[in-house]
Parts: sequence; C-alpha cells; structure tokens
Amino acid sequence: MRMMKVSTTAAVGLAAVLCAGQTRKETRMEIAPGGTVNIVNNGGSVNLKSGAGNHVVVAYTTHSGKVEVDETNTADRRRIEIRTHVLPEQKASAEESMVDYEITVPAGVSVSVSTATAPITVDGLRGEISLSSDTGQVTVRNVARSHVHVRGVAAPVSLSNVTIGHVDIAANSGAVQLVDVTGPKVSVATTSGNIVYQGDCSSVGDYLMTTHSGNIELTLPPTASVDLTARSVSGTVENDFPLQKKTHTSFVPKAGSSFAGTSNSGSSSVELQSFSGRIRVKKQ
Amino acid sequence: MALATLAVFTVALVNYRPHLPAAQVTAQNSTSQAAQFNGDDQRLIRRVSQQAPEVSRAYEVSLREANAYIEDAQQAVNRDPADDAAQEQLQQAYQQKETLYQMAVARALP
Repeated sequence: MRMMKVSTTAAVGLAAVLCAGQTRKETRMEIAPGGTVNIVNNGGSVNLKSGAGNHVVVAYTTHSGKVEVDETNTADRRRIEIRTHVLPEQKASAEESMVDYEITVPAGVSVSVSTATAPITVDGLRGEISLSSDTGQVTVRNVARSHVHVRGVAAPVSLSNVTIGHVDIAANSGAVQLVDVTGPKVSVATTSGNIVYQGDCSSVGDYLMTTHSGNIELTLPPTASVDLTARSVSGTVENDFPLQKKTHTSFVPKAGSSFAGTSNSGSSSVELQSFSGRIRVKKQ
Repeated sequence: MALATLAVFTVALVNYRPHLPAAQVTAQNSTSQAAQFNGDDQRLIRRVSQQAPEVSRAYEVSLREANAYIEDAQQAVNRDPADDAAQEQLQQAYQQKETLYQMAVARALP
C-alpha cells in the first residue's frame, strides 16, 4: 500500500525550540473511521486521549537532535505509523533518545503502542487498544466498550474505570492493579507480579486472574454477584467475603488451599489461581 | 557477520514454540535446570542487551521467573497428573514465557 510520509520539517503546526536540545512539533493527520494508529517509542512517554473529528493530532518533544520521528499515513487514511528512531551514525544516550508524545485520537480508531521504558497513559479512548511495554508504567482509564490488551515484561499496569471491556493482561513481573474494571471478559496473568482487583466483577462476565508467585487480592462490595473459585497449588487462600458454599464443584475444596462459593445470584464467573502466591478475597 | 547473527537469532525466536507436555511426564523431564537458561534464552538475552540494554535486566529476571514457573508447575503435574490446577498453571507458565519471546522478537528486529 502506498504510504505518504509526513515530513516533520514541513509539518503543519508548531515547531518550537524549548530548552537545550528539546524541540516540540505538532502534526495533524486525517484518519478514516475504524482506522489504526501504531506508535513505537522506546524512551520518554506516550500519552493518548480521545478527541473529536477525524484527525489524529500528534504533539511530541524530542530531547536531542540525534533522534527522528517518522510519521506515515496510508493513502486510504486507514493506518498511521508513528515511529521514533535514532538517526544513522548517531550514538544517542537513553536521555537523548527520549521522545514525549501527546496524541489525540478520534473515537473508534484502534491504537497500538510499543515502548521499552516509556510509560504509556491512555485516557478515554474508544476502540481496540493494544499496549506493550518492557518496563514503562501502563495506565488505562475511563475506557468503555473496548478491547484492551496489555503486555509487559516488568511494567506495572494500572486500569481504572474500564467498563464493559474485553481486557487481556500478560504482565510477567509487573504488578497489576484494576479498579472498577468490568467484563464481559477480564483476564490477568503474571509470573511474580501482584494482582489487585477492586470492583464488583459485574457485566455477567468471566474474570480470570492467575499468577505463579505473586499475590492476588480481590476486594468486592456486598452487592457483587459472583460465582467464585480460588485455588493455589502450594500457596494459601483466605476469604473474608460472605459466600454461599457451592453444592457442587469441579474440584474438592481444601481448607487453606482452595474454596468456592457464590454471592447474590452468582452472575459473573471469577477464577483466582496461583501456584505459590497468596490469594485473599475481602469485603469492601 | 552481524547480519548473519541477527538472521540466526530471528529464526530461532520466530520458530520458538513452547512444547506443552503431555499429562504423563517422567520425573526425568522435570529437569532441575529448567530455571536456568537454555540456548535460545541465552541468545534472546544477548540480543536484547545489544538492542536495548536498558531493559535487558528486566528480560533476564522475567525469563528466569518464567522458567521457575514452568519448573514448579511441571513438578506439580508430575506429582499428580490429574491435578487440573497444576495443569492450568503449567499452561499459564508456558504462555508467560511465550509472551516474553514475542516481545523480545519485536524488540530485536531492526
């Protein structure tokens, strides 16, 4: 597909020298409904928020002249690529390689972001959201009716007010915190990262949280309607939330290692699994 | 030479497939060296440290943890192949390692 490169020097918008080595630029690119924005930026930061209209607005600040931002848009306006790279023959330090992005995206546009150390913040988007960071903090808030995929190596992950979502998080060593995050599908997996969930597990959803050595802490309000199982292979499980015992389970509950129960009508399925981490369910 | 090394590394990563073991595994398969790095792991860490040294330590630690996860879950499955929880944990462990490899491939490609 034919791509058009948006020259940063000829970009429409502001180009201002800030302080030593810093340059801020802003571009506007038209995007078709249902289009995709892909962003690759190793260091610095990436902040995305929702906007009106049919343009993606990209404002970024470079911290040295050793890096360049390539912005391309397909001829059909369905895919925008924004990529930071070090200029050939340049040896840029981590600080010199950083670029800070502020990007505004119309509703219904999908977004994919990949960073190494740069934190990613997403606020209020509507569309498919795919975020990947090695160690940068990933924050998603105020998102509804979207697919949210997060992958991290040691990146802390925080989601809040993400409703009616398909949420899939693989965080390895990073800790995961979910506040008021509801399904229909919420899946969180870590290796050593702790998982904290605060909310009501509503939307008649499937909630799965699994870890190797991290701890899982689930805090539910009394109104939560859940069918809950908690199992740990060699860790411990604790429950302070009033649950009605289930008359039938697919496993034999073992005190201290597993339990199962329902509250209210049990409309959402909640499965908590650990290998050696502690699982705790609490009442809000 | 550098191009050839990259090509070999990329092929290794792209072809990496976690082999989920059958429920019946022998104790011999549950190697005590699972938490150590195999050849692919070492190549992955080496490549990431060349491309993105600021995150190579994170990959190293996470890979070691994923291997320990696999080893623990494998041993639990060996002890009781009918243990559904252990089976699910073993599957999750391999998926965690696969995620690391997928991210490393993306990081290592030029």
